[in-house]
Amino acid sequence: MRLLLVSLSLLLAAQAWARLDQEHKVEDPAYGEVAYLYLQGDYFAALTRAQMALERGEVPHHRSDLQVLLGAMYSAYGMPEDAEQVFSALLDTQVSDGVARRAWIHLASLYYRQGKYREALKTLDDKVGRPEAELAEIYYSLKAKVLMRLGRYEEAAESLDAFAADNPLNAYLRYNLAISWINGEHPSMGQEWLWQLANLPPGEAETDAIKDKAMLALSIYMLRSDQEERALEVLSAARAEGPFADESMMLYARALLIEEQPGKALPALQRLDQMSIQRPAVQEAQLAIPLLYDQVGSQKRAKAGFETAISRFASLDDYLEDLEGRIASGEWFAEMVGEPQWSTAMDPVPPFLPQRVSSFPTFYNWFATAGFQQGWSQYHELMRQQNLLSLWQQKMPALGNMLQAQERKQRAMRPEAQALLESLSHQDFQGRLTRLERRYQEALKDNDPLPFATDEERRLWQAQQEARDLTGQWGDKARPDMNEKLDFYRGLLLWEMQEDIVPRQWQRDRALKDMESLLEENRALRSRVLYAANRVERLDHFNQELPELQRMLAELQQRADSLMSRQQYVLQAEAVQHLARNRQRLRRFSAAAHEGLADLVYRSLRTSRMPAEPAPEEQPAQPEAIQ
Amino acid sequence: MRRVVIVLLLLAFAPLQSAELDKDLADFKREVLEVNKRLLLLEEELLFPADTQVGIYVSLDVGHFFEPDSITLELDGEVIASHLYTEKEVRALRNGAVQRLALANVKNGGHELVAFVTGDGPQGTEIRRGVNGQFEKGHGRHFVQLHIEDDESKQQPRFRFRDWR
Repeated sequence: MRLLLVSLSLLLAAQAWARLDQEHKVEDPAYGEVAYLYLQGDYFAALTRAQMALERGEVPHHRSDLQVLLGAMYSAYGMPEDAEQVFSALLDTQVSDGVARRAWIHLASLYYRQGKYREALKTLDDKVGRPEAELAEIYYSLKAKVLMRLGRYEEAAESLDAFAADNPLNAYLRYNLAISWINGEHPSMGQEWLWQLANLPPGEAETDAIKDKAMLALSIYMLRSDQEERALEVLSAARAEGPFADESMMLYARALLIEEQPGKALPALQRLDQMSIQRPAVQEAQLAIPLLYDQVGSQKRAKAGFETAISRFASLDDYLEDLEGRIASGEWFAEMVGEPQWSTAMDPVPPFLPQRVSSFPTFYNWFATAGFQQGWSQYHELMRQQNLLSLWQQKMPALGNMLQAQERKQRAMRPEAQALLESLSHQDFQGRLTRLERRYQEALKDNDPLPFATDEERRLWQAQQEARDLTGQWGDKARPDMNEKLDFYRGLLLWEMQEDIVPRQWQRDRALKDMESLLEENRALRSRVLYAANRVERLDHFNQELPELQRMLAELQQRADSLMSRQQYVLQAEAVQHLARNRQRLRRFSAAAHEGLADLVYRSLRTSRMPAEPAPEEQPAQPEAIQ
Repeated sequence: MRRVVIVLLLLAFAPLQSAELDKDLADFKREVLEVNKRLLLLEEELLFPADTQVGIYVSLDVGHFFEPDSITLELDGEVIASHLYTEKEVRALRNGAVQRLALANVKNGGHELVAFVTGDGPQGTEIRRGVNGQFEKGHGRHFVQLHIEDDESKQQPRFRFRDWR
């Protein structure tokens, strides 16, 4: 049963996310990360990550998808009010049809969990209509469940026909519907559906469990409706292991006894006799064995059987009385919980291992109920949160140290950074670049090659200028060809500089652009340094946040303790109630065993006191005398 | 006598408690989630400031030809993460979810990533691959994805790192 519940929850989880064999669609890493935790059923970690992603704006592409997921997780995590709030807020905004349909389906599912069946159905009919293929499974299964709750079984059957028959969820719902029919207006239809379920091909544990359950229900119905032979046929095919093996065996024995085949019933009862007396079917078998011996005339064995039954019932009653004491003292609960091993703060809830307690067979049926599972998961979830809170408490000094280290670092770096910024602000890089650019533009406009000359050319140009000035001072003493030669060299130098002026200009233009981009980078770096140097509010905020969080942690730890105790008391009270019912039944069995024994002794005494008649040769053998 | 009193108290206590307990539990969970979120944000901000943070993610698309078993990740020659996959994790990846494999601090500039991946390939064959990738860390948080995808033409998985900003 538990396997079935787990598989159902996983199936529903997968459907809420809904990606089957498709290309990768995740565009925001945070959304994919939330889904990774969600699909593993770790709602607490997934919810935390989703809240972080929404707060930091990490989901620009998947914001509405994440909100649907968030609502579904709140709902599954036992926070219905938060779920409703998320869905209502989401549906009030402009979202795509696909997102809206998913949100409506989850909202309808929430109504169903809250017992608002009419609202759930209205939402499914009016808001969702006909769902697309990827939502069909969750839509039709939910609709079938709602319709069943409303007693509209025919429509529920139609909904179940609308999605995959080989799905374990479908089988589970069909089982529920078949039981409703058997107990209602269409017992023959219920029988037919149970027959189909009982004949499903064997497969996974959950499929086998549903097969066993259907087989059991079918045989009970057959025994009730005087179809003993068919019941025997069904029960003879029942598995001798699995969660329903003892009940199947007991029913089989009962059917054989009704059919007056005590010889065949005895092995089944003896096999049951080997199992734990805490199981109800075994207790019933204890009573059935002496009755069967009595029926076949073996009074000696019948007497021994009754005496064994009385003794075993008495010792079981003592055990249950002692168990009641251990439940009341909390010892039993502590034994059940054990010592969970945690490795990280976000560890999932540890697996439920009730087998470790000796009272497991007594509470076997109760452990399989949704009520127990919910209470137990809540207790473990509280344990996990308590563990998480204490881990955070342990980390608080380290966080404080890290914060102080960052403060120290910032205090040391800030003056240095401010001095650097101050010195940079006097450099006037941008002004210098602008002046260079202006000179470049002027040189282009004037077609002046000199600004693009190499150092050597500039030196020659300078030398030529100086020589010209010098010869100018000589006056008439200067040789006439001297000026001509200098003009010639000047012309030659100009010609050389003009020859490749375009590549020279281009190179200079590129250098200016490089400087522009370097200056841009420098501006970005300066703004980051400026931001970091003046970012005191971040550390101030952390300084305020840390003590407040510490106070909240302490307060939450106290509340966790109180809630754990309350949840424990609820479970213990249910265990006591279950035990009381068990003991009541046991007392009835014990009374029946005493009555059977008394009746046997009485009959035996009467037989022994009756005057002996000569036995004719054909007369059947007398029953065994009791010693 | 004491035991009887306790049992009676338990029986009287249960119906009174269970009605209010669900609501109190929901309130408690809401507050724990809030505190946990604030603490994680604070811790991440202190340990991995946005300016130096790099997150490495793993995705599986669609996974016909590969089922991961383990991944070891090196950043600039240092092992920063190792992970063994459970059945549930593989199922989540196959369904399109994304795993955050590591979060690290790096300086601005070029960095090298190497991943050693093992797992089951087509027909259960064992696959061991080394994957190389480079990324250029700039201003702000940086995400890198180790993308495992199906190569239909070769009927084999294909592994590559890609920037995910």
